[in-house]
Amino acid sequence: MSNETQHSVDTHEEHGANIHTSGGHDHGHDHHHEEHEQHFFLKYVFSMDHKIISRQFLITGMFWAIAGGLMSVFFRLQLGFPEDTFQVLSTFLGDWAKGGKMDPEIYYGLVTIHGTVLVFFVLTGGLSGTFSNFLIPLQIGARDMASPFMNMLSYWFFAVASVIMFASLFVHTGPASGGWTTYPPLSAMKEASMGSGVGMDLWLTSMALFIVSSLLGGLNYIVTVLNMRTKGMSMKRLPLTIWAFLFTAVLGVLSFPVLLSAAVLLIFDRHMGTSFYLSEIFIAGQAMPNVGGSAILYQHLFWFLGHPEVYIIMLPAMGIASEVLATHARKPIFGYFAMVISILGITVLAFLVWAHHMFVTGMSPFLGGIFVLLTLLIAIPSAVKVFNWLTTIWKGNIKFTNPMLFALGFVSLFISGGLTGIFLGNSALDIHLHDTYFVVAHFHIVMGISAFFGMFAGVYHWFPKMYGRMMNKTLGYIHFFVTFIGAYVIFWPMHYEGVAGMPRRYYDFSSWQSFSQFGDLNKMISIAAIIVFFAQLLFVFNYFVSIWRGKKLTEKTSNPWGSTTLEWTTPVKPGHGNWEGDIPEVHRWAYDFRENPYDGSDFIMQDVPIDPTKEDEEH
Amino acid sequence: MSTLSLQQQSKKLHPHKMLMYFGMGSMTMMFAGWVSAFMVREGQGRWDHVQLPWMFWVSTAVILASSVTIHLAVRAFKKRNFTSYQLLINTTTILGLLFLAFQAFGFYTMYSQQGILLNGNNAAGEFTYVIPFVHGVHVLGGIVALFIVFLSTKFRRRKKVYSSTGVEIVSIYWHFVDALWLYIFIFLLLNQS
Repeated sequence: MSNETQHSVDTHEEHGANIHTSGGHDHGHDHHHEEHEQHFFLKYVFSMDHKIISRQFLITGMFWAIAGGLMSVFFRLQLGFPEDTFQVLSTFLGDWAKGGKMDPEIYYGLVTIHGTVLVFFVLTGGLSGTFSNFLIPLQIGARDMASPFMNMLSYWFFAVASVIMFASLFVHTGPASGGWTTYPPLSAMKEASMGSGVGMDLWLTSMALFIVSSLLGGLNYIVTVLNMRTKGMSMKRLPLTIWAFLFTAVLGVLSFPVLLSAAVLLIFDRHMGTSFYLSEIFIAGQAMPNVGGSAILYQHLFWFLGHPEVYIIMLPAMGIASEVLATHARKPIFGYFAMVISILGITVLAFLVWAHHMFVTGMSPFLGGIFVLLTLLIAIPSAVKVFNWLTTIWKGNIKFTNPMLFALGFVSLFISGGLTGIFLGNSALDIHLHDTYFVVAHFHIVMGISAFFGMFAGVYHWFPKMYGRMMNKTLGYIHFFVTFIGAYVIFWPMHYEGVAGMPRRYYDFSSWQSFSQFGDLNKMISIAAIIVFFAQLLFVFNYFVSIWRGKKLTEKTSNPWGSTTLEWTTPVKPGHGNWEGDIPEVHRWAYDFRENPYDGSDFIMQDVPIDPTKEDEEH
Repeated sequence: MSTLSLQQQSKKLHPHKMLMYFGMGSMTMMFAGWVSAFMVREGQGRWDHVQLPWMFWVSTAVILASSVTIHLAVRAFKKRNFTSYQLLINTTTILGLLFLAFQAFGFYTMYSQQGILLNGNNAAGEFTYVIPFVHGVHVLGGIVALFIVFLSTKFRRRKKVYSSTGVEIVSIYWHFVDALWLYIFIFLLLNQS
């Protein structure tokens, strides 16, 4: 039996290798005999197993989350305590924080890189990369991705992008510092600021590689879902996670290329003397030769990706939350079909709302009105989803496990942050609120923290499948409560600051009469941010210790949460190829939580055949 | 049993072909980005129209011809007629290189005779360099793929490769960059005055 399985994995890989290289057969041949002694390098480093690749994405994402989080701790120290000096700043930032007080230049650098790495490297690479890779083949019943080789390349492009981005922190003139949106002219003229030099070049190189990585990954996810499902796994039996990953990939594949075209034009402006984005600029009293370009053009191209990007971040978290809520409330998901349609609706609308980031660029108010309408329409599918999550847990047999708490936290944060979106989507209100802390509060809650909660729910839920062990519950509870309360303490007060007009991206507010009243509030936010940051280290500790020390799963407890989906039909530690025997056949939808007529439990797995004599019928 | 997923696939589109189709969608979006940038910028005025050099007409003819040869190459491969397949695939590669040569010649003419420089003064000219240039990069990628396909069928050892999937995918891509050029060319022609 196992020999045959091995064969099938080989066929897959030969298949893949044939297209890309001429030596496909040699690889397949060796692989056949040496599965168990596969070289460490091939097994864990240049692995083509989607499960290893997903863990590579997750751990790289965790590295960036800590780095990006630490940056926010540093600039929160500046914002909360503008008068004080901190030894830790000069330790980490060296000459950029002489005497423990950070330079404005590095403050902008940190804000920029914090935004970039959290949006792209953590919540896109780390979230989609981890869970799409891990769950798509396991939940649809495939042995691996459509092209395992492309999948490996996807990770390694991400890894090289990460190295370049990290290296940009150490160049003499500092990292890119024009904000994560890198608007021209700051990003297009080397002379414009310190971070506009080498730091910006490295940022662009890194992002170009990241885009390639995310395209290779996204194409693979789409094709795998559409083409490699096991027998019986029709689209309407897919778990909602898979629907979410599918549409996330569609969004990425259609919107990231546009960011690449924006970046290419930016590179031409920087290095070839063109002026696509530049016109009539004075630096230090000197008129620059560039005329006729348009900085607004960059904003259009950027936000054509930039807005879908927030759904690239949100959809996987939504999918994970749907799965976790249903499983831990022991109830079928409410309104499965409505959930799928609303994911589709969000995907379509995501492409039609980008200009709501540009209401104050002088666009025609009529055009603005259209974008207001389209933006507010997103409230409909979002509200459908929230309604369905609430009705899913309504009267459920809720198990307050770690993943469940994070999924509930996700719903809470998504509601809180989503409501302020209705304010900001309105072009009249946006004139006042644009570029204030209200915006910072809104997007951190709705797509930053809540996507993080989706991700945490996913890690706690699927950790047993990833490593065959459980994570520590107590540490998980502490992690949840500190993070949940902390998130609100940090971001809730920012709404008030924003309504009072406090602008984002400023280095020091103490000299403004109108904003110095928020001094104490800023202090409190900073202290909460530091506490929440340390709580995340607890999670990292829990994660790594549990890999080796966590409670082991046995064959009996191999499905610890009582899930219905296919990944729990694999062995406790599945090898490359996932199932030892045949891939299971699917006979029912993914949410069959009810009294099981066969063994009396409260759920029926997707691969259990339907036996009408036992009052069992298709949903 | 030889795996359910493979049995199922035989009825469906080959996954790697499907990857190519979605990849084409992705590349289309990227070029849509550039073409829309062109239009947005043109709409803002201060626009000196650019006359396309005659070489672009020749390169268009060359790349259209190469689409014919690669189509015939795939047909020959499927008929197991490997001699004519190799001849045709090599002709396609050479036509591809010829296309790039004419594009470069066209750029040179624009630069030296029409005096269109990348100095931040002539957005129309800048776009006329950049869009065909990035298209050329895609053609170059196609040439590399053709070369790999050529090598992998030329130096087949041990087992003979009779699956035409690899060749077909390269051919799909080649037709795509051909059609893309045709679109860009017509778009630039319509905007040259």
